[in-house]
Amino acid sequence: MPSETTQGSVKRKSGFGVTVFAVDVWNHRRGRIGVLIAAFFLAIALFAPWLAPYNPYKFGALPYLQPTLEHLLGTDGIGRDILSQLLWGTRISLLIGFVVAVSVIVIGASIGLAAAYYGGLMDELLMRFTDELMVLPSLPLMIWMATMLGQSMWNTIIVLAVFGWPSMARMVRSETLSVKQRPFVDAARVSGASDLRIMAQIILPNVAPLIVANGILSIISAILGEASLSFLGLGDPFNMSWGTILYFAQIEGAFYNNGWAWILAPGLSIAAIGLAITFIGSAITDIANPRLRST
Amino acid sequence: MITARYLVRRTLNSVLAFVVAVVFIFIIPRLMPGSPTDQFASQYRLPGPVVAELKEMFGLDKSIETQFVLYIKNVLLTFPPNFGLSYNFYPATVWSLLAQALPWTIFLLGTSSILTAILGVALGMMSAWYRGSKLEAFISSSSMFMLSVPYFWVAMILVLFFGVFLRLFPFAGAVSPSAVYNGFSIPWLFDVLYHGALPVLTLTIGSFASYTLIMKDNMMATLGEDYILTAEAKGVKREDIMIKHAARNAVLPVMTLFVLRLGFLVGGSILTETVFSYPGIGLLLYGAVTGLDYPLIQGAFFVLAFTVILSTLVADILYTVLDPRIRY
Repeated sequence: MPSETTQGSVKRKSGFGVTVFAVDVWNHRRGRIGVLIAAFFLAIALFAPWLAPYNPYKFGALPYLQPTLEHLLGTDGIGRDILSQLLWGTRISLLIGFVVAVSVIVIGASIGLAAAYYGGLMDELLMRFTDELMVLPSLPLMIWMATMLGQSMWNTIIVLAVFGWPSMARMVRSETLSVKQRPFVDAARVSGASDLRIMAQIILPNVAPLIVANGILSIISAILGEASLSFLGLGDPFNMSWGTILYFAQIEGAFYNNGWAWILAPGLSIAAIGLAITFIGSAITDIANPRLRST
Repeated sequence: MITARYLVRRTLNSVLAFVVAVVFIFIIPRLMPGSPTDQFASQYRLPGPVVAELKEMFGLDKSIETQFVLYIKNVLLTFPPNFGLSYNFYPATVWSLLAQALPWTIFLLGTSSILTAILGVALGMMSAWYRGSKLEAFISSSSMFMLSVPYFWVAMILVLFFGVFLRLFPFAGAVSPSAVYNGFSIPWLFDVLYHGALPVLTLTIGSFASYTLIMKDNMMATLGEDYILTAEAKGVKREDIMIKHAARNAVLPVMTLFVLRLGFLVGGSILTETVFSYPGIGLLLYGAVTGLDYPLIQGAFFVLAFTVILSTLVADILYTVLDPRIRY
């Protein structure tokens, strides 16, 4: 990490290190709450095999059981334990959210950087394409592509990454445009650095805080997008996510069987991890760049 | 100020976006693995000659250039656009299906957009005005929570609570299946509102949060302006300061949010219509995609792209008309 931060950021004696940054997030009130909630879900995702009382895919009990001590969230329409599905689903939902967010960052940042750095026709073409993807309603396109590719976890990830990057590209582009004007970029060019080197080593570190803050927020869109696709029956039935649980709740008629816990638990989990990520994201934005107050 | 030059350029941009969308709609199914006829053929175990005849009938044996010219001629140069016949609702034309479904979706999107804007702006205004209070903390944190609540889950909770538990509202279809109406009438209108209540509520609850948060930020910035201090000093009533001086100046940027959120809203309406079996474009499109009804998929995309691009254009132009500070 370079010792200088983007314009208008806080003065700092010890530099812009990762540890200092983490401490700042921890000291930010909302940031700490977010980190705690996220850590809770992360622990569940990691230890799901040991935490889950039953095999989530095995029908071993009566269907539509109400919550009891044996089945804390009851059972689904074919007698599978919902708590176990929820715990294993945490792993799938978070994994998809994380992998998609990383892909969105890589695709979006590359396109945004290239468009802003090269400018001209390159910029025009890339941004026209980006805007086109942004203006078209993405969910129907994702449904379509997911249907064509077939139900698997990796296909869901591909679909979400393909349609997730445009806003990241737009944001990286506008930030790069301003960073590009600054004297140290000219200095690097004069000293003979290649385009790739300037983009990767000079501009990227200066755009990084913004990329990280928005990249973290894109985990939310990924988890929500995955949940929506799975809810429509396009998820992987052998890698159940929170959305898949809700899909089964819908088609197996949880409504008519008092399935309160069955419907509430996965939805609250999605909202809770979303809230945690929003808090962390707003903490990072506040710290890295107080000028851009997050909402 | 709005200039003729801006108007022309902005409109041309939209037309270009629309043309590109139309080309996308042509290309995408041809990029996907497997052709519609092959899937149709394997589904019904059709013999080879029949498949060849089907391909000829749908023009799929022609070169890709000829297909494209034919497509543009049928879709852009004919009114109403001719997407052919639906596979799943044979022999209904795609256009007739879309024409039946579109008004329902527009009803859902229009009503919920208005409600969302009112609710979002009011809550954002209140939380900025009473900043630092318990009310503000409650509105802000519940809005942040609602930001990541999926539309379909809101729909499920509403069905469970208002539909099944309290039995207050119907939760399937757009009108009572048994009722017979002769066109527009007051009982029909009541029935439509009664059936639309939960879907509209779903979309409103699912989208108000981002409006609240943006409005709050704008309002906070406006409240720091000098003219607010002046108004306070000269003894303007507090409600007047809040609504006439601060909120009126803070509300305009919220309109840009409407443009940004329109795509999400369309996605939300697909999910909502699926949960409530509401006969709009979303449900039609979902059925078409899962049933591989290619002509209907293309038609539904065409209508959605057109609606979104047109609303974006209108909102952008309205924005510049309403806010004289913006110049192009």
